[in-house]
Amino acid sequence: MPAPRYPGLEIDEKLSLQRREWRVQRVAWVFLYALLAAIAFGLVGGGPLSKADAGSGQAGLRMEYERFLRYQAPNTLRLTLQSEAPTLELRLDSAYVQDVELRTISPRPQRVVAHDGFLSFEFLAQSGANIPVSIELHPEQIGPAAGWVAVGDKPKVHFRQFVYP
Amino acid sequence: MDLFARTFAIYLFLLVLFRLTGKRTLSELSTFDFILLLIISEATQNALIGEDRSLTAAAVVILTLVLLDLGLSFVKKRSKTVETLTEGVPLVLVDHGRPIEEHLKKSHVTYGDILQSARQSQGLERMSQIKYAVLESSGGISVIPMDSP
Repeated sequence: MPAPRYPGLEIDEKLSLQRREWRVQRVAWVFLYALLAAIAFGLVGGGPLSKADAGSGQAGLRMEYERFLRYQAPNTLRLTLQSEAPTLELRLDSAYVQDVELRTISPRPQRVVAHDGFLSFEFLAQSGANIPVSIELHPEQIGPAAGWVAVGDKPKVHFRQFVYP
Repeated sequence: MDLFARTFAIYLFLLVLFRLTGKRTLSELSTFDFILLLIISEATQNALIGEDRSLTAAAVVILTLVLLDLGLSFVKKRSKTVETLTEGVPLVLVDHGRPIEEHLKKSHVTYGDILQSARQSQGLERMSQIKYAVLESSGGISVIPMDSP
């Protein structure tokens, strides 16, 4: 048994373990600060890493959305639709709506029709105008969420999101 | 199940986080530490309870936390490895009036911290009156004065 380092003191000091703990801590701090930086840039939503655009002229719509969402944290899809007729039909994937509860749609649609696989929102709109529509969501499921939006029969615009717990 | 999983996750997260950020994080509450504690408790509560205001939710969260803590204490008593992992080991900071510089630097303890503890617990005035000063695994500094047998 090696001579006690501190005569008279009965203590559980284990320097080898202590040094290992300090090394682990230093590594952990670097990782944690890097994680914080990533979060500041939108890793969990709300920053350049998370903001995304989708849509095209061909599809008649543009959409701004967040790639990363958090469970039960309200979030908004901002769309700009090109209207060609007095009524504008926005279609939204119903599988998506099941994962991510719909709270409000602004402006209020005149009519909502449930189809097989999608919901159809009909708005009264001025022909030739760019109509902004915002859809407020409330994620109720954790994990990946995928959906699409479309103007009438035009090409679907797909998007993917991830909901953190 | 959901409530239990979230509570368990938060408990684990706090345990690991405070273990990784060093011993002295919660030992003596300065004003700032106190504010930090309040904010942490608010943030935790929001995550655990959310929109669920039922008595049942509160009871589940509390029960889970108490039993997890009890379970951990039990495991710590049975296994030295687990105890060292979760609590750490004590560290001698001062040996017969001489501070062990490397230990102070690595554990982020200042001369001032040691002297404060010496004054508060033993009424000592100078470093040379300290026989041993130990940074305990709880984060506090215990001081043994020079005259003790």
